[in-house]
Amino acid sequence: MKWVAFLAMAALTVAAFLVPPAKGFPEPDLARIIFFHLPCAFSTVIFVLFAAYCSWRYLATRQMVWDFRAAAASEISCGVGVATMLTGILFSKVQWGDWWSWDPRQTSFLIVLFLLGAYFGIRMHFEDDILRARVAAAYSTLMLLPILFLFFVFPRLPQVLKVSLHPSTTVQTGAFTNDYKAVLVSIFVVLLAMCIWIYKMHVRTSQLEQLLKDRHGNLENYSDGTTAHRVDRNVPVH
Amino acid sequence: MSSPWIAEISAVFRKEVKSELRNKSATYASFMLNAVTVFTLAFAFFGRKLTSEAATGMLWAALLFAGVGTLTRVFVSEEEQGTADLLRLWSRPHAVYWGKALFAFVLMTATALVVALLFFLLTGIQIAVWQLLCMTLVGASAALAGTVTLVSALIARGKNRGTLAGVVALPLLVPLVALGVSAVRVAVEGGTNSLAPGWSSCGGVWLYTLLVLATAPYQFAVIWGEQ
Repeated sequence: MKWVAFLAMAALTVAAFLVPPAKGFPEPDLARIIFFHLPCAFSTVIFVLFAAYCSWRYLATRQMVWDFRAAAASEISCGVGVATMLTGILFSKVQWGDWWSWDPRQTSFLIVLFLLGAYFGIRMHFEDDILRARVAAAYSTLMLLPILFLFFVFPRLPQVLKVSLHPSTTVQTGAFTNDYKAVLVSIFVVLLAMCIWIYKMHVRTSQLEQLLKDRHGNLENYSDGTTAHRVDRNVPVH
Repeated sequence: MSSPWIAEISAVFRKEVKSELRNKSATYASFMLNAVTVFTLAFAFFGRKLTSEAATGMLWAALLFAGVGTLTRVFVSEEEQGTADLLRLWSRPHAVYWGKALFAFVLMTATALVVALLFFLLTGIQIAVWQLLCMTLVGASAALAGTVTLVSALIARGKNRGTLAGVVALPLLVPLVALGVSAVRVAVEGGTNSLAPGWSSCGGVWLYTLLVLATAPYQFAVIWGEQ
């Protein structure tokens, strides 16, 4: 299945260079980076929200699997978030003339990455698994409020819309042809499938690590290998 | 809210005030840090005309660091002194949170007003709309108190708490700063532009505060009750 996804992504990458360029951009040919920028941005939003949901489920059920899911979803969102940022920076340089233009959407996305960074900072600073899971879950649900603000409210504020360089109007006024949209949506679907595949692998790895840790920590209960037996030995007392 | 709740919350609040009065070194250190921060920021622009945009940005940077620096010790000190378990046994999580957050709010409001007055005094910037400035600072202090109290509880048992506090709290407060900067800028500029955007940003600060205070006690109860 994974090979199908890889081949589909390769084919779509080629297709991204074959469709006619979108109108309304200063450099229409170089605006093709949108094919990867937008799917990465959408995937980031999906995985960030899913991570918050998993964290909430962990707090409600206290099952470690939800913590593994939250951590995996956060890592995926951080990965695609960094990809969004890098492709956005390239777009910014080519279309707006600067690597960093302090565009409100660009800036709010960077803050979301900072929040994700803080989430991983928390995970690194707690050694106890249960405490780490609980604190990380609480932080993940806590950061949902600023994330929702940064993703959905802040870019739509009238004073922000006025100064934003993001080509939202260009996109909404039909700059993309149907072929363009088809490639864009296909890349998004394939990227999402790849992210879900990596996510599942990550969760499975965490579960196996936990199983291994449990077995090492509870030798008495481990029936397959060497069991810790009670040893009676005479000890001289002087 | 029933009277046992109020009694519990006020007891936690009084305990915080007494602890603060008993050990003044933390308050003194915070005051000195804030004073030096504001002085350094103002000194960087000595002899130059400071624009309202730059001034409000600098003021909010000072307030943010003052808030995080001052308030993160709320729960960290409990863990360091070994009194956290006693507090857990003695009081319900919601009462602990509200008592601590109330104390943090009083401390932060006083800090914010002192920092702002000192900043405007040193930079020579005139305030056009005092009411807007005060309303924004009080609302922001409540949001800072609510957020940083929760963050303090989160990191209280972690490693390298000092560094972690800043890393965890600052990104959470960025939306608040964005709204606060917009409101204070209008409070400084006053009549040159319409006041409506300033008041709407101030409303945003209070809305953010309400959302934080509506959710934080529940998140606190989850992490506090079982530690």
